[in-house]
Amino acid sequence: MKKIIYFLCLLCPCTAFAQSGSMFQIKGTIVAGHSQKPLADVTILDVTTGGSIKSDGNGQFTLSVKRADTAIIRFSAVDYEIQQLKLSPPFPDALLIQMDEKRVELEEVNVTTGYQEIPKERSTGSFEQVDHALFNRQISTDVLSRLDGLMAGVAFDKRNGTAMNFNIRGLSTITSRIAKPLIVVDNFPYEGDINNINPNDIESVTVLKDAAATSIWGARAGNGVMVIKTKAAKFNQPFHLSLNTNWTVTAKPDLFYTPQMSTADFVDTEVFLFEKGVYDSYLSNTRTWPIVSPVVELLDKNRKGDLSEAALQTALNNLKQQDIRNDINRYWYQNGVNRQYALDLSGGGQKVNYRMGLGYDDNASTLKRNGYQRLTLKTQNNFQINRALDAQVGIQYTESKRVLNNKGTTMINPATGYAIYPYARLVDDKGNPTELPHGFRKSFLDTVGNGRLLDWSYSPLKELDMADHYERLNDLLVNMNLRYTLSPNLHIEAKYQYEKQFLDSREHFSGETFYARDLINRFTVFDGETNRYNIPVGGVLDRSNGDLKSHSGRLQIDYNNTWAEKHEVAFIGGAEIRQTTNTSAATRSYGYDDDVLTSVPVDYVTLFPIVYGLASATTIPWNDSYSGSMNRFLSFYANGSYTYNRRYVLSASARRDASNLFGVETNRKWNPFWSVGGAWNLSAEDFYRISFLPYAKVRATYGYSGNVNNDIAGVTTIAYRPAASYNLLPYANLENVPNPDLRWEQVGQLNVGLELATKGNRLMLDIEYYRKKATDLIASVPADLTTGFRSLTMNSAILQTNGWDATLQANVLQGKLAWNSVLTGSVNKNKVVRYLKEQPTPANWVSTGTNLIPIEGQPAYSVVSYRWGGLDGQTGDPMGYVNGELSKDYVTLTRNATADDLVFHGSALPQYFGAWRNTLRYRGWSLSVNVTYKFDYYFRKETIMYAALLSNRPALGHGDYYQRWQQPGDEQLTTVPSLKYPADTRRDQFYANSAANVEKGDHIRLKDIQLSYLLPLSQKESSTARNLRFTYYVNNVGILWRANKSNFDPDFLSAPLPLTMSLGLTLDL
Amino acid sequence: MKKIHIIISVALSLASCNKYLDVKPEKSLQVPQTVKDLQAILDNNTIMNNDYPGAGDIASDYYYLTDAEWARRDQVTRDDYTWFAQAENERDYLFNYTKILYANVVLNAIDDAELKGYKESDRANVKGSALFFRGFIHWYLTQVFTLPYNREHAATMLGMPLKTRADINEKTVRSSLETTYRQVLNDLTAAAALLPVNAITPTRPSKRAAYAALSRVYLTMDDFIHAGAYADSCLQLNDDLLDFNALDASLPAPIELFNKEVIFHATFYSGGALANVRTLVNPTLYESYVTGDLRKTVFYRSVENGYTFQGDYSGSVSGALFSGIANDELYLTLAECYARQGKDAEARDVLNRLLKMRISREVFIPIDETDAKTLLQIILKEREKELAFRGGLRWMDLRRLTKDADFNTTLQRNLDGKLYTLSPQDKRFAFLIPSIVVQETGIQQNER
Repeated sequence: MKKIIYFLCLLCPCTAFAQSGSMFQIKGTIVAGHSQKPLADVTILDVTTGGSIKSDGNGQFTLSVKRADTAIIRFSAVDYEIQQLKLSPPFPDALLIQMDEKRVELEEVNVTTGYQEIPKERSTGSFEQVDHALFNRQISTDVLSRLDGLMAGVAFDKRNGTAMNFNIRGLSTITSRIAKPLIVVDNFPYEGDINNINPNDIESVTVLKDAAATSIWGARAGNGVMVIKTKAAKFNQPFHLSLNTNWTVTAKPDLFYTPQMSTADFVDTEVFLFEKGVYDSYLSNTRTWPIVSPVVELLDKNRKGDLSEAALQTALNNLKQQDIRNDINRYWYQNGVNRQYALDLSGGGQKVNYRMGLGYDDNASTLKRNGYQRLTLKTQNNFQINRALDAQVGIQYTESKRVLNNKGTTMINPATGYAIYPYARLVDDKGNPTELPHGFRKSFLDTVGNGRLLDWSYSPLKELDMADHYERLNDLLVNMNLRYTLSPNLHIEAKYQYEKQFLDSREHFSGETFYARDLINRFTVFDGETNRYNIPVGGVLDRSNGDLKSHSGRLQIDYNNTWAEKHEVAFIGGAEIRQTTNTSAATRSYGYDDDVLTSVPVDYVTLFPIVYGLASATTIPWNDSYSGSMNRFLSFYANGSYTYNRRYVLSASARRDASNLFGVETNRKWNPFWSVGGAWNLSAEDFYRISFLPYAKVRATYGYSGNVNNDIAGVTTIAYRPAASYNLLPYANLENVPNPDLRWEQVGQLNVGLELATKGNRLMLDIEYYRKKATDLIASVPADLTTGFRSLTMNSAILQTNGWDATLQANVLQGKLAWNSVLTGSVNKNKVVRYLKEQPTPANWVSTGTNLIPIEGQPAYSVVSYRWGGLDGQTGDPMGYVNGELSKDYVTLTRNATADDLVFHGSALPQYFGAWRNTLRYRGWSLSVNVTYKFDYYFRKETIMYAALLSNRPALGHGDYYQRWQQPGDEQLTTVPSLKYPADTRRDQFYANSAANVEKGDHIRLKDIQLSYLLPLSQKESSTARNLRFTYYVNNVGILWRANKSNFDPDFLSAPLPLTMSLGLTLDL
Repeated sequence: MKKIHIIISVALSLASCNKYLDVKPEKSLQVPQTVKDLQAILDNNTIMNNDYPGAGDIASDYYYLTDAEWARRDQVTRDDYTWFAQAENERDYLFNYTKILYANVVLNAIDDAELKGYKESDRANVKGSALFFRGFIHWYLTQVFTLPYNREHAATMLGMPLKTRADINEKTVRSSLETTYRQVLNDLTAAAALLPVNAITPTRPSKRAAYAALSRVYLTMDDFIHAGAYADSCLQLNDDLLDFNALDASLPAPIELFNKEVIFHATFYSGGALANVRTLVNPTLYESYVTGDLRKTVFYRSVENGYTFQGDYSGSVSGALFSGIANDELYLTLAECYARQGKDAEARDVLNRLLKMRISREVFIPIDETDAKTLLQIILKEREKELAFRGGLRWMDLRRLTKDADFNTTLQRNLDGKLYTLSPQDKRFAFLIPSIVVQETGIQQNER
């Protein structure tokens, strides 16, 4: 042996080495692979002995190994690939080690399309995922509102006050009813109420944005797809229990948000109108006794000499002190409180795993006596039946109750279309509920019937107390999935889903409610000394129920294979069949007694007189109705990808859909939707040398998806209705006129994306450009009235959208104090490039942008105004332009304005928007703040409408009343026209729709703040962490900056979303 | 591999299974194919029996609005009331062309419709009804949107756009007034031949309704021979009259819905101008009813500042007023036609048969006027008194009488101290075709 070593030494005379006994010392140098610079601090481990050393500043080391044995030496360093050497004696005495820098292995993210899970690395399409942690950053009862402000290109439109409207990459259709993205839960489109889903059951949410991602969903994917994946257990996982509870308080709405005219000025206006004689026909009407306000009653008494001038003034002054908003705030609203409890159990063995989620929500609305309770139960079990066969069974059951006792402040209004006067009070000085005028004039009700009729008074607070209205919903969702492995590369899978949702609504007007008393009184006939009650004394019970049933089945083949480590193929293909049926029924019972559960039959056919002839003779309201619908879809699809050398990816997908929609020829034509895409992992190339950007990928896709509108048909259709107004025979409405050319809407989309990441993922950039062209858009277009239609619905527009979505993630600090910053930005600009209908009337373009009016070359939702010409210095009349000339001819201004007399402000939807989310972590603490922004859009302010104020049922004027022109010179200071009696509706309309009331909507909003603390309960590391987390969350914090001077929240013109605060506690065991 | 074959064959069999996709998506939705379906379309009372043109009534002289009442009406109503030259009546135009559309949808399908348990007589009834609606409504529209018919110039005067097919792509053009009237007469004559004498409900057209409509159309054409003949034919079938002596004037609505005089039921829209609970009758008209004329109390009710109307033939207390056809109108038409033909005795007889039912038995003295012109004057005045607040009729009379120097009037309104007038030759007797229709289709607008 000695001889051999000696010989080795002779061969390598240059190597200096020392030998001691049985040990041999290896000397070496370590350099970085690219730069060839020496590397320090590399750990050199002798795997056989466990001894380790580190390289010095010159990259050099000396390692002693046992002379006799084979040595395994491992070199490792942060950011470098581990290298391992196996050396057998005789050992070389000098080594040169090149260490390669670590490839950036992005955390293996799988995106789910609802048909398959694909590694994000291999995808060509545009996917964006919200993982479990991010999803749980916000606290809410529902799923959707947690996604606001998280993803690029996903915009929530809350102009109507709910979080349920959102779009993915802007508009793809111009029919709002079908503008919602397709929501897929696990594998199938979700047909039920999305509120049935408990957010605690959710693992992740993936948004599919481009054609490659969505085209697999075919005719329903034109607006993008949101795939919600629920939690499931894994095999070989220890038992895990998680308990989550939180508590959210929602502030009352701000009733003082919209500036209003004061009560005193309102009273003075009523006095003015009274003197003009506006109420005379009401006051003299002793046939139908229309309501007049208390002020008018007082003035009438005074005019008749029943009330002295002094007493009148005192009474009026008292009324002027009131403001109904104070009472509404106090007696109609409350702070909303939402409580949420969720329990999660999971675990798995080798053959079986299970997960069970149990949730309970109890919400008290900001409207008193309204609320929502929901119980959810979800189980998911996986079975490995044998080597080849897997089975999954999942059941989700939801039971909820929505209490709708409080119908809002319309309950306070004296009549439909007659807003309550501002000096009304809900309680008197002693705090007792007041009676307010309702239905008929009080002076009539006070004397009517000589005690023969039921009490006919109306007290809003008492009515609110007696209201009894709720909706119960039961939803059952059953999933079954069988997967059979034919060969390691080939699987066949059968999926089936059954959903049944049952909605039961009940509104009970007890005999004490005004609704029942009023109906009974109206239908009372005085028959000598006795009363004939054509509607029996007692309550009224309205019930309705709706039943939704859906069956979905899918058969799919998966094929995956890799050859020669370079060729990778993944393919799926399958067929899907769906049927959704809806049935509903509504019934009404009269004379209902809730204690003994009895009702009384009534005569629906006879025309009965109304007591005192207060109204025309009529039949008893009959509310029975039934409906039924059935939608069927049949689809075939395929999707495949080929990857070469992990660098080049090609993908393609195709789908054909057919449905049973009426008369649409396309149904039978099996119109295909398809996409193609490619991706290039640039950084995997040998020539790629950008060391600070170790990850780079480009991808591009193009394809089509569609939008199904099942409201319109290609043939003449009629809809039967139960009973015509006079002859009570069944009758029909004309629903559709023949339109044989009707086609499904198509959305073609090009998407180009670039993904970059710096070393260690310190900075990650994902940027995408897209171009969407939606053709054959079905829109309601103004029609020649001679056709008998005001508007016709037809394929009529082409909408083009150009946009960018970008997400920049930075791990700014990675130490004990970690700082993660995510900036998302979207550009979304759409334009109606072609509108097939001639538009001869530019005046019809004038719009606030809440309704879609297609104008070629303009955004789909645009704000268009009459050009503003200022106020007339002599009269305070608003002026506009007709053919470039100043004009006060409001007929011409509003009817014959040409395009040049209008101002095209721009989009009513933000064209630039996004969010900036910063999260700081220190030990167990975490603070996360989300700031959202929206730029480049316009909104129209509300203003005073004199015609509504100066009417016989005056509606409280807007606060612009105080800015109105009152004397010459004011036109320099204000744009609000002078008050003019009689009011000119066209003058009002002209001003309201003029450019003077449009402002920029741009703003930056502090959306929410989350603070949490994680308390570890166990020190030892195990696969499941045991800990306790406290969370504090504030939502809808407020606006940080806005472009408009009027202090409006441009997203909420009538009332902003109230602030909510939540406290949460999560226990993981 | 066998399994894959199975899958593929299953998939293919699904594809061939188009039956699966033939199921109706909405149960209440129907492609109209049967006589029953088409009847249901025409039984849509809300469309077919409501919202007859009301602009003419708003512009008529049997009532007036106080300054304050006028001020609080909507713009269209205010404009119509003052005969504003630019007044737009989109609603009258659209709602009535919708009726024509419904009628055309039925006419397109009726000849091939399946009977499915119905009889050929039902098919004739449905077809006759649709023709009635199409003819009657086209004529009704002329009363608002064209100038009064003038035999000499009708061929060159502007008529209505005629819609005889349910085709939304058909180009809209204005026919001449003569062509419009010819189309109306063709439709109504064909309808009369198909319809049964009486309908099961007055909301459906009948032979009587078609005869009455023809009588009206000929009256507006100053063809008194045909107008009289059709009125007579109609009354031959049924000449029932309500006896006002037997009515209880203290009731909120003394005249019932579907009373025995009603031949065809319809109502019109007046934007609240003609609400019977508050609209005040023209005092001159009120004063023209003689003492003992029961219409004074049956039709009108005293309020603080005048008299409001309560004699609606729809039996309504508040709400849209009657604009259908009733027997009393035919008595007056027949009387006028006799008088115009010099048959004074027949004219007096017909008029007296009506007045006997309108004037208290104690004071009723039959009209025995022998001067032909005075007699005609009396008949026309009775028409005004009997048919006030009856949709369409006063305006129709004002229009047709513009050509007659003996009987035409200059209408006047007084508002806020301002005087508005409408003289017999005024072009404003034809309201504007809604400007959006003119802009959309390029059809010729009425002259101003």
